[in-house]
Amino acid sequence: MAESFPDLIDTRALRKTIDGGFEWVVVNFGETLEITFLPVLRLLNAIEDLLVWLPWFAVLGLFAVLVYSASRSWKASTAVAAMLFTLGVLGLWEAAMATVALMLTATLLAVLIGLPIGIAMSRSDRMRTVMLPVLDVMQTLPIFVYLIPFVMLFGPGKIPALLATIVFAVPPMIRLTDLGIRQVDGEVIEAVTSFGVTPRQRLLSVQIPLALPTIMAGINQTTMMALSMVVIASMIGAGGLGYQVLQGIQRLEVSRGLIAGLGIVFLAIIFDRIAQSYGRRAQRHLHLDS
Amino acid sequence: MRPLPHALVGAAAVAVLLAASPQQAKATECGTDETITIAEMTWLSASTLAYIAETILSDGYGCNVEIVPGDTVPTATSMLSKSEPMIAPELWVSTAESIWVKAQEKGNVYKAADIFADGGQEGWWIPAYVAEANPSLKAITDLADHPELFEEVASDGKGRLYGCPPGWGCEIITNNLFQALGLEDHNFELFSPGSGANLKASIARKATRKEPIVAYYWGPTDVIGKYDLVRLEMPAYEPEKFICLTDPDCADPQVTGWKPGEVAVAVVSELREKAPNVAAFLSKFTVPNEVISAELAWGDDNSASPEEVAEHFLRNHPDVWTAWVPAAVAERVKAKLQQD
Repeated sequence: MAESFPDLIDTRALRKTIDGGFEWVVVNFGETLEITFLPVLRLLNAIEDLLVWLPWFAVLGLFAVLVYSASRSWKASTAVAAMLFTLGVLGLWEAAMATVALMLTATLLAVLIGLPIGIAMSRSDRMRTVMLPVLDVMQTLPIFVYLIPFVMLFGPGKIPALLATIVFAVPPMIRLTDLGIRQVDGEVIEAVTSFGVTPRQRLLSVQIPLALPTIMAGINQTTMMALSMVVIASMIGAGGLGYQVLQGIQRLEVSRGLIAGLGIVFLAIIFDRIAQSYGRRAQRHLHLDS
Repeated sequence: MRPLPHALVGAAAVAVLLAASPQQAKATECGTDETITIAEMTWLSASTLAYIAETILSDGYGCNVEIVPGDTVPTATSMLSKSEPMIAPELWVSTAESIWVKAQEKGNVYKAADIFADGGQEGWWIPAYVAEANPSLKAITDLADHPELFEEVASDGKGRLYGCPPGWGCEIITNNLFQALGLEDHNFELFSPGSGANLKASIARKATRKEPIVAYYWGPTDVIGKYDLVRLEMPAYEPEKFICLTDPDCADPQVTGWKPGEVAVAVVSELREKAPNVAAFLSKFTVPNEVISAELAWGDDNSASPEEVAEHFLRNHPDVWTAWVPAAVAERVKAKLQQD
């Protein structure tokens, strides 16, 4: 007979301690935490309200112009407009705008958080050694492990959804910023250093611009991961297209789930096109200059 | 080979006899030596009840009992088609309505008792401390006067009613009831929690912080017991109005009471003939809602397994369960509990 593992410690007592500590945090800091993140919620709501308030054709035009300015291709720009139009036709306009708002806010915050951390990692090997396992944990820890505790801490709705999305979506941003800067040609750095640049000049005018294509790829991945979180985020009350998918699954209404799922795919394609085009343009720009 | 000493042989024979004789006495009490199967559903209350029945049948009646895993619809289907498992202690009839109707027609499954004294209760609940602080808030019709009570940081100055997760049957009923009560015009918002886990976490957050909340929930559950939730009173249940409430396109929703959930101790009919004593026990197998909710809350607090909750119940509520069985059976169960 196989011998079972001996009970070295009383796990039940350990779990009780953790639960008790967590409850203490909820009781004492629950409201403070919710209020702290209120500005983020306001930003998200403002973006959503703006997108819903704008006439649909204005939003459509805005996206078309954005794609054109990035890709200089009428074809891509028309395709994006057509996809947005389809979303409206399918009756998903408001849900899609809510999802876009959540995704944009999450991406914006992920870039604001990820860029400095990525830069810091590229400059200090010690920082890198500390951060890499942290990023691994963030990407592999099952989402539900922190999703429901986030609800306990911040209250249900968009704030925990946004935070969980950021936890999930920020690692590629950090990794690729670090990688991009580290990959900048050593000879270029040597050359500019010999011209006597300050570290700040070196970072802002040489390293970041040269790393831009990789950083853009990071932003692209962050956007995609944020979008893939929308269904899960809707399970804690975030609304949007994810909620429609969830409703479809729960009610076994295949059509509703499929249509809303398709809507998410459209949004993914649209944002992928925009980010990729900007990345490619940044790259082309570099080749022309160098 | 050395001959065995006589004393040892004698002792062994006595031991065999001792082991065998109560077995025989008990088998007659049980009525059958066939293995009685009990369905253990996935949630805590149903699995706890399965273990309570198992303990009473094996320790009290000396039956051979086996717990088999199940879930509402698969178990009901298997009982209908194969008369297996023999006992489902907590079967939500409304969830398996069509299968249940078929089984009644076929006659191979019967309802021995209502497992919960007050039936399954659905509705809108508030914590007891909110009810005490606001004596004027007793029924769902009083909610309209108290939107300010349920205001939240993120709810834009509106009172928030935590509704039912998407896709559950209660979602449509809650939405229609919200409309029927005109809560929107009384500065309320209906917040969809998105999932059962989120609803539970939201209630837990408010209750640990002693803040007011009004939310859809159902009982008996650990949540009701653990956070001491009180159900807001509802008007009497009127079938016609309620049917409209279950319709997503209900043109003119009217306020009415929630249909009481029928939760049965479902038993296959052949057990009645084979083991009449067991059937007699099952016909009395009813637990008061607040007792089971409190037991589940104890289980949740101590992260106990269903077996442990069942044992805790048997130890602490003899007043409830001794009424189900003859005194001799109760004594045997108690004796066994003391041994452990």
